[in-house]
Amino acid sequence: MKRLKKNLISSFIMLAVTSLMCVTGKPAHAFKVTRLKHLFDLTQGFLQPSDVAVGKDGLIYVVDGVNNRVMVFDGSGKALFSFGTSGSDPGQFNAPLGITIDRSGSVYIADTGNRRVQIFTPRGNCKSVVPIAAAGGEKPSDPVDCAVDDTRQRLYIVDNDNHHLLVYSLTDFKLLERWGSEGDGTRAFRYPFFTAIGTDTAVLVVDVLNTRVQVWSPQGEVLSSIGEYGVDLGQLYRPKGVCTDAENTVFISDSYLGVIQTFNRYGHFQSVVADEKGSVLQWNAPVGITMDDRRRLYVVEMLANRVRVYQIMDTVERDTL
Amino acid sequence: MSIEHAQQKLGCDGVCGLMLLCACAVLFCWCMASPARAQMLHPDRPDSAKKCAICHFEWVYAFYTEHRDGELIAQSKQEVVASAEMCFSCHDGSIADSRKTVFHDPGHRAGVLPSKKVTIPEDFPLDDQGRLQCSTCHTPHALASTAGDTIEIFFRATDKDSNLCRTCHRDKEGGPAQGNHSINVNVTNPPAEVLLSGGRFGDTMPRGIICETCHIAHGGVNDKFLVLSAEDTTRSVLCISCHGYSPLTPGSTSADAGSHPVNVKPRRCRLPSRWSTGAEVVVGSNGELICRTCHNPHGAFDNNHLLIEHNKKDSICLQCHQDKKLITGSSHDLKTIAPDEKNIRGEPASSVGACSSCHLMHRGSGRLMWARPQRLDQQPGEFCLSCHSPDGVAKKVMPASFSHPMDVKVSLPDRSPSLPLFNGQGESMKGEIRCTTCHDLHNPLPLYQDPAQAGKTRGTFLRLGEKGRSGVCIDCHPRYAMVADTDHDLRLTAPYFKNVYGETPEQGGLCSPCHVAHKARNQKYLWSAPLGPVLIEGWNASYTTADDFMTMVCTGCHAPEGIAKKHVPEFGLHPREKVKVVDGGGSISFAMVKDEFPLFTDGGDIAANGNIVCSTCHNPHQWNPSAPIKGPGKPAVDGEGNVTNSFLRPHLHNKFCTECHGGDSIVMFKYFHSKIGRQKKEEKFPFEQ
Repeated sequence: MKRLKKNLISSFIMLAVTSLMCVTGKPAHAFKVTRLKHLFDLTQGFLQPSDVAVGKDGLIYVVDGVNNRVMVFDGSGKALFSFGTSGSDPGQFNAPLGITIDRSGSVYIADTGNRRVQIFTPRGNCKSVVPIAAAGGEKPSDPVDCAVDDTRQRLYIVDNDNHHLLVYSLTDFKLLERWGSEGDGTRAFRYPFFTAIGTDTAVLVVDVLNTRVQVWSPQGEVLSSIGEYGVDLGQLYRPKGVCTDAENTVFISDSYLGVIQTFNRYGHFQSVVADEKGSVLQWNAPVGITMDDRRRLYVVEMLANRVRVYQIMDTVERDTL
Repeated sequence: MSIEHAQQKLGCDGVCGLMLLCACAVLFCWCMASPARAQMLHPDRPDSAKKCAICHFEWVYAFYTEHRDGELIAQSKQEVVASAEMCFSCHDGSIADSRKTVFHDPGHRAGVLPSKKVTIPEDFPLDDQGRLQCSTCHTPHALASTAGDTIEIFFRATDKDSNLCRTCHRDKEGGPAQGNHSINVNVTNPPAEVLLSGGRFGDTMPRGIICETCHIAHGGVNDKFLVLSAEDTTRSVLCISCHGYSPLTPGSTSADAGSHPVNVKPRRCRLPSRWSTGAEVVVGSNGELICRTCHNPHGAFDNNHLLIEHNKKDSICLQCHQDKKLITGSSHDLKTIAPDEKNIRGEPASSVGACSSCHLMHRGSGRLMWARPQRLDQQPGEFCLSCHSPDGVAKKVMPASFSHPMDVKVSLPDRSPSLPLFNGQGESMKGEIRCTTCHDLHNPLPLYQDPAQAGKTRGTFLRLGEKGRSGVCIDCHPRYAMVADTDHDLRLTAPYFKNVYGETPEQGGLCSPCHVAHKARNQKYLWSAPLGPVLIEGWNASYTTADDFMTMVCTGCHAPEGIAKKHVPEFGLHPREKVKVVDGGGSISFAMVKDEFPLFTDGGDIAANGNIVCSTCHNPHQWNPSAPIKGPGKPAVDGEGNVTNSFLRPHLHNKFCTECHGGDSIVMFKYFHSKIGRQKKEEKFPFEQ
């Protein structure tokens, strides 16, 4: 009897403590932070810029969509030139959103409002215009971002309104495949947005309303899904931007939570991006992000009308700081 | 059943029981710790919980169920479902791109307190601080509406015929009677520029004006959310897109004919800093006069024309055109001379202000926005003669015959720096003389004594009135102003002389004793002084004729009965037809007799075959030939001059006279004009003629 009482008391205490922990909130637990050192900001009369890319020679290209232009800076943040005006002629833009740069330095702009992708020389001269046509019965195309696989000579274009990842040939700009459809299952998107190519040539696509980043193989298979809905570590609420570093660590920006988190390629949460002291960094509507080969992280703060540039320092346990 | 019994029943001991309890606890905690699984365990929060929380951030599981902060963000204390930030998180291009139209261009703002002018129904929710948010007008849900309308997706009420706007902005309804622009009236043709800019017309009336014809909630061009500019560098384009504007269309009966200019900076008027009501004077972005300067489509004082204030007695006009104020009560204010005279709108002069009898802001005729029934064309003077004619309202004041010539082109070097010239399109540097060159129809000054009504004054409406009555003459004919302060300035030498108008020199001005612009005695030189005899006792009758106008001009004064009777030449005439004009060779050339020593026909014209008359040797406007200035300001000493002045033309005796008379010319000259010479008149004139 005495033993029974002891067991019951122990069990009750364990149950109470455990339940209390669960009901009152998740215990704060240790997590890693990826620390950044702020280098400089780019501000050049931006109006809600959306995306950023770094060219072969270190030039920084910022899509300044409401101004219908692309601003170009040198590696130290000095404004060099801009290209593009409002309009629909080659070289002009209508609310462009995404940007990518290929190995040769050619600049690809998702000229969203004109339903096309335009390709420019590094100096901003229009080389090619790739009209993006929607399939029959679909909404008009809505190309919001693109990515280039130099190895396979492919141009991936995200059709936001039609929930597709379009695969184009880089040699003749012909549509090869349409991947994905509207939905929340595997191989489905709900408003795919920015995209990036991983070091393993996998295609990472931010799936905004499914609050995840999907990882697609070059063969069109979904390899993994990164992130889940929520406001805790490893969760996403409004994922927008994605990029990878040389180790294929995936960085994902969340425009409403205002944070950037890192994951491994298989979806495991790794860290939250923080400042030098380890405090989690908050941005004002962070959207497009990119990483250069010097491990500089570029973050577009759309509502702050600026691009912040950081040097990645390390990833450490926050408790050790 | 006891616990022990239960244990026996289950076939386990205390350790087993503890394990069971622990397993339950772990299972419970696992369930609770995983939001997704927890949601699945809550039938009221199935997977749709995530979908709702896409916008209803405060319903995120950590906040709503666990009542805790998220690890990445603090718990939301306020409802943010339709805050601007939440909407922007999708309308940033990731779902829809409203960056420009909603979050940059002028439009309805979120996060602001509503104006006191609006009435917001209860089913248009404000946030917990009473501010407008996106959700005030928008909702993704289908909600019942108190108005019983069909709910349209994303709107809280149907927007048929801009109902959504009018639900709150009730003070903007009622049309002109309430000082607002008309709505629900058809336009002839919906302007393409309005449609292309996002404006739309009615649902019930496809060409009907609704709020959203002019306004757009998002993506407007200014803080009034207009679809097209009414104020910026493109100026009144919105108003003009429907109302048209072509003020240079004379005679047109369309609404836009003869309108007051807009989209121009005021040049001849000065806008007040504020209207008399205290209302702001709205101008274009570069200070241009625009439709909105005078009109207010919402909150107008005048319910007929949506004017910024009541245009009582043309008060709006006169606040800008202050230099025209003096017309009120003058003889050009029709209500003073013809109160029953009606403008083309049928309004009698007695019922309107001084401006509206002659001008209409819209639908007037031509550039002058002419409101008089008489049609105007491009003929000079017709504008004035429409009243100053035998059948006109100003028939008592007729310019009559012998007036200053009009329709005369003036060469630029001789052009007055102050007086305007005109062509068919208005004032022009290369235009012609018109009535309004000398007259400012809106300013009666300077006044003059009415000869018909003692004690009453009348307006001359002369420009440059501050320079005196002859100011306009001198401004174009400055070299004749040298007559001032000479013996020929009758203000000095004959102050009681009266000209054809009965005016003294002081009243009429420097030129008036001899010249007047209207009703002159003779068209030649617009001569207004009395003409004298062609022959005076002692003069040789064969040297003149009965039509010798140029002699009569001088003898009007220089005669025994004239005001210059002390200055009558003993031998006043030169033999006629004695000058032989040839070109070159040292003889008298045509240039000489035209410009330096003019020969005159009997009619008064300068001609090569003219005769030597008084004015050949005398310049009546310049006392001293070597000093092109006005005179000494007093009569000549002892009433006489000498060979160096006396209105003689320069170098007369040694240049002109010597051409015929050689070295004797000075002797002859002295005989005729030297006092000493005439004192020896008993001596026989030494030379044969």
